[in-house]
Amino acid sequence: MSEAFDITGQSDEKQKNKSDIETEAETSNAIQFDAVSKQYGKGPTVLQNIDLQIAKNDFIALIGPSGCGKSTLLKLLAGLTDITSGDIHFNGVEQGKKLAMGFVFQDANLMPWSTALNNVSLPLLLKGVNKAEAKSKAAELLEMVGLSHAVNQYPRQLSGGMKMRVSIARALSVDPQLLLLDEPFGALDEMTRDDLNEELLKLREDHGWTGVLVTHSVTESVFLSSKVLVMSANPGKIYKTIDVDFPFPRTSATRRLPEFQQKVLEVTEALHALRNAND
Amino acid sequence: MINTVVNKVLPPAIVGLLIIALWYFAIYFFDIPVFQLPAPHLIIDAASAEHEALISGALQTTFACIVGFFSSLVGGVILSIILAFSSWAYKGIYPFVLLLKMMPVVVLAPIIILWFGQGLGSITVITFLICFFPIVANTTMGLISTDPNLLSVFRAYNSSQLDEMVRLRIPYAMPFFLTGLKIAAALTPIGALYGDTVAGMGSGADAGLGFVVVVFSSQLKIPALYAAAFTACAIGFIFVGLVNLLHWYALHKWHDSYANEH
Repeated sequence: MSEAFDITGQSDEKQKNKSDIETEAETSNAIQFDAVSKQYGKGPTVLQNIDLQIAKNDFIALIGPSGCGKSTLLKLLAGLTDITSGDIHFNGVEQGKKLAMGFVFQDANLMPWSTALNNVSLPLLLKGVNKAEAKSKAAELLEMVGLSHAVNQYPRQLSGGMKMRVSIARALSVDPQLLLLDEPFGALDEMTRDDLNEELLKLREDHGWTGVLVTHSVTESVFLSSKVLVMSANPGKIYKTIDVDFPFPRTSATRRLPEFQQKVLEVTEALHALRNAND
Repeated sequence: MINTVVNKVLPPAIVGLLIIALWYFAIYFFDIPVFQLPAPHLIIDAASAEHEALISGALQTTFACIVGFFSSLVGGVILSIILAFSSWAYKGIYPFVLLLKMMPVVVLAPIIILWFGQGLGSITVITFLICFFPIVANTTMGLISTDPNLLSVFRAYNSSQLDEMVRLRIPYAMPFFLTGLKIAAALTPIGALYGDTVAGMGSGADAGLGFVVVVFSSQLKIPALYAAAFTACAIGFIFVGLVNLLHWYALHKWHDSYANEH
């Protein structure tokens, strides 16, 4: 499991050689995919020959039809599943350490038996941070996402948007360098979704993590990201890369810009072209 | 406050009074003899006449219940955790747990008596056996059916096996475990009373309630038999009530089974 983001190469000679090369290479690309393929067992190829550079402070949005492997790509980054062939390099990570990663999952995924505070403390406790320290950090984060009043509430008592805020606070508890978001806002109504999108960008201003987002919403992908990757399915490939170069911080006013609408249209058209090519 | 008392107490009180009225009515209308159905006041008379035997029997039986129930709880939970920790253990051991469950206690009882002798030892073992399966089956089910989405949260943050067990599997299994415990609690007095009837002995303070029943029956003390039945009921109620309290205490803050209570 650790293989994917362990670049120390203590056991794997191949990795050792590669990490030597990396130290000489430029380090502006925080994460680099080299011909990464993924196949589950003997099933179809989910991802084929993915080459991808993610620069530090990039916010990548992955969008595409179901089965295009966007969630699998996220899992490979997280180290939740092994790469079939190819390599992912994490540059600028100290020897013997792993990149600090935060995860925001679909449907918040909170422990129903734990309060908001305890849910946010979880990653820290799993890391071995002592209880008092974890809780005080969790309380700070909950305040940051506007939930200081709900610290001791159970997920059952929280609305969908509030649960998602708890989930974001939990992901940020580990001070991530990389934040992975797997369709985090899919279950929310549009107003809440837009609000959370804006809040997420505000949080990024303060913490500056690199982001990789899987989404089904074109508007969301354009609003949040610095680069939208349109993916095609069977096998999963990157079909088109669309740079989104509006400056951060973006606000609700950004959505009303004609250039924004133009980008949304561009991504939508790419998705349509993809569908027509497959028909 | 008054409303809840009215809501909760009044309906069963009314139904209870109706049953007693119907009871008296049936006895006088159909002329039912005492040895078939004694009137409620005769049962109360018998209860007060035999209160020494009933109380000491109840205490003895309660003791057997407590020992059997708690050893089953501890043993059941330990076994469930072992089964959940390793799929090899699960595959290897679980069929034998089922085998034990399939063997009727009625058949096992004589064997148990041969091993543990006449008396409290055998009675406790019978109680243990009758409680064991519901606890193991439910707890194991809870431990192995953990929400895969939550499991991926834990795995993403590099959780250890121990963390997964303590922070995820065990809390997730709580409602399952408590359901098993509820079933076991209802079965506990049945186990202890049945144990009494086959392995019970002694007289006076040593006799459990089941043994008291056997004695009453042989002496044809019919109203006293009814009194014994109600005493056994009370033991069951206390056990189930305590487990329900535990269920509430452990789950009411977060579990959906209490979501609609306000």
